[in-house]
Amino acid sequence: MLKPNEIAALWRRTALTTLGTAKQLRNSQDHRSCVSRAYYAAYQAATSICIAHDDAVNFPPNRNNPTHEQLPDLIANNGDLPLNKRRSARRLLRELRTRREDADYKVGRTVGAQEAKAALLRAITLFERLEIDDDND
Amino acid sequence: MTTTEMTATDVANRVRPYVAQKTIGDITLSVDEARIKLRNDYWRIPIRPSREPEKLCPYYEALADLEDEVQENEGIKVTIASGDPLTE
Repeated sequence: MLKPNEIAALWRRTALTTLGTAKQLRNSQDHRSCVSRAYYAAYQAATSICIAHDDAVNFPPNRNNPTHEQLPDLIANNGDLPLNKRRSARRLLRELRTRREDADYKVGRTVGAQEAKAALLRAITLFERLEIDDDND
Repeated sequence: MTTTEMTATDVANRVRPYVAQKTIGDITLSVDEARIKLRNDYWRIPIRPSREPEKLCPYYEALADLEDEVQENEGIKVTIASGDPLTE
């Protein structure tokens, strides 16, 4: 059975892969998918931090990951990080979640290069706030 | 009253003053009370812009600000969602 720090490392690795995919999607001008992947990269990165902090007990029963709703609050209460970084990370997660929902479900809304760039920048900033090195550049 | 003891109308009434103060240029925001629902212990509140925003960054930032303000000042667990524009 994997230990929490090993599970956290797997989430972190997955987050970095997803962020790399978001960058590729931006380069190929698949803007909606880029926004969606940028959010999930952020979600996975934040989840890794939560698991490392032993927050898995707060996840819903029989789930290995947090709900989208609770994740920003779990990060905000994570004492492993300085307060200013936690608050910033919570804000970025909230904004990225809304952007992702619109990109995936609001087909009437134009999601262009600017939106893809904005989402990607926010995801990269979140990685910085969570002190996860993004070496995919 | 805890988050889960409230009704959608209670939530809408608590959120409206914050929404009323938010504008994006000449775009105003309003609560879509009929679509408020409790999901995963959080009240999901769709916010409708008066029209489709031309620039989306200030719009998304305003929604994220709202979520911060309502949670911190009202103590209600909420997620602010992007609703449909009142006019297309």
